[in-house]
Amino acid sequence: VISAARDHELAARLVAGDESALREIYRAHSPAVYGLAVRVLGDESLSEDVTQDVFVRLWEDPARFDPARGPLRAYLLAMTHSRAVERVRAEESLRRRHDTASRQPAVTVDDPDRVVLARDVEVAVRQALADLPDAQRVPIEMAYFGGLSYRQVAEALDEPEGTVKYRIRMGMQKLRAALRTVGVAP
Amino acid sequence: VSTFDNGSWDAEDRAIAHALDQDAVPEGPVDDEALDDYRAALAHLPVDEVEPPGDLEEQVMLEALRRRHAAAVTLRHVHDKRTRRRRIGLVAVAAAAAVVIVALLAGRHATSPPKGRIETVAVQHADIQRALAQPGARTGTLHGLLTSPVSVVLQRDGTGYLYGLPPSAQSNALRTEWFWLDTAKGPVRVGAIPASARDALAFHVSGDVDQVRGVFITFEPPDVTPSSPGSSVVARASLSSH
Repeated sequence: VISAARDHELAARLVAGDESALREIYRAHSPAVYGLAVRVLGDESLSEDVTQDVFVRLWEDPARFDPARGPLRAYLLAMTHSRAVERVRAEESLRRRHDTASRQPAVTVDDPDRVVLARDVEVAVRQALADLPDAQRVPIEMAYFGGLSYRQVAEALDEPEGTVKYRIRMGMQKLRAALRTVGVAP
Repeated sequence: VSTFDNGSWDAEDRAIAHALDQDAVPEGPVDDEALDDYRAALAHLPVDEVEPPGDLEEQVMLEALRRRHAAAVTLRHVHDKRTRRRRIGLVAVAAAAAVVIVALLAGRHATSPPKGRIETVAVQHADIQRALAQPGARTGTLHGLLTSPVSVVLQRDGTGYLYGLPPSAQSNALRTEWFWLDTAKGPVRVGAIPASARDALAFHVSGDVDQVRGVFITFEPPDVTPSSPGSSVVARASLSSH
């Protein structure tokens, strides 16, 4: 509730052209945005580009973020993922990503407020992910963190594309259920 | 784990595919609520947060502001307006406080004992006429040992004139004529009637003018500033409205 109210306030300030709101948002969410970009792209330079792109787009068109549809973090990460996947596909960096996919970030950051506010849902979702059978978890991770298409996942796993799609659906539904269980879904 | 998939796409399939940024999603309705949920769920998947390079923040801000100017002026304007409103409010409060203080001071003056002083200004006949015409002005005639009556007028604002002074009422080397107010709480010294005064002088009463019941003149030894009138009252007048 506190986080949602905060998102509403920040959104309003963005729309009003308050650059300090953008700075606050950047400082709160850039580690997650950049971290996801690095995870998907496996390239720090490209990740910086994506991170910049995400926050600049938020600033350019703040009305696109609707707090009623979900938290700002989810919006930013969805945009990050989308931009990162676009870069992956546009620059055909699959090989480079695979080379660096196992690299772990050097610095991790925990925003105390975010951790406190999102801890329950984060725990629930992560637990749900951990509880998924590999047949569902792996294709989700490959599609999300790897930025792979269903077809690419299917090829990598040597499974029919329809099967991959179905397993992803089953797994995603469980994650959604976990999200709703803790009552934070929009 | 079931591997069943009939190859069709429903709204939830599309929501999932959009959440995963799939680029080959068949056109059709999308379950937006599910899409929001899936995006929220994915946002909570374990991602190691990584502090971006330190200079990226400024790059982001520069690029953002290059694309869309901040409403800094507007915000400052709002801030200024707020500040201005606050200042106006403070000024208003201060003004109100000042009014209260002035009122209190006025009240103090109104209730404070009257004090008087001789005004070293040339008095014109017109000045006296205007004073006499002022509403609430009180007048009196000093009778006594003077060779001729002396008149007095005192306005409500404390401005007063003593006029018709005979030469005998002027100070000389042997004596000094002192002008006094007769108040409810006793005599109040106004000042010495200067030798230069011809037939009129101006004086001013501060404090509670209404406490002034009359005026009188005394003869005092030269070079002495009396703290209280001696026994030689040479003329006295009561003030009354005309």
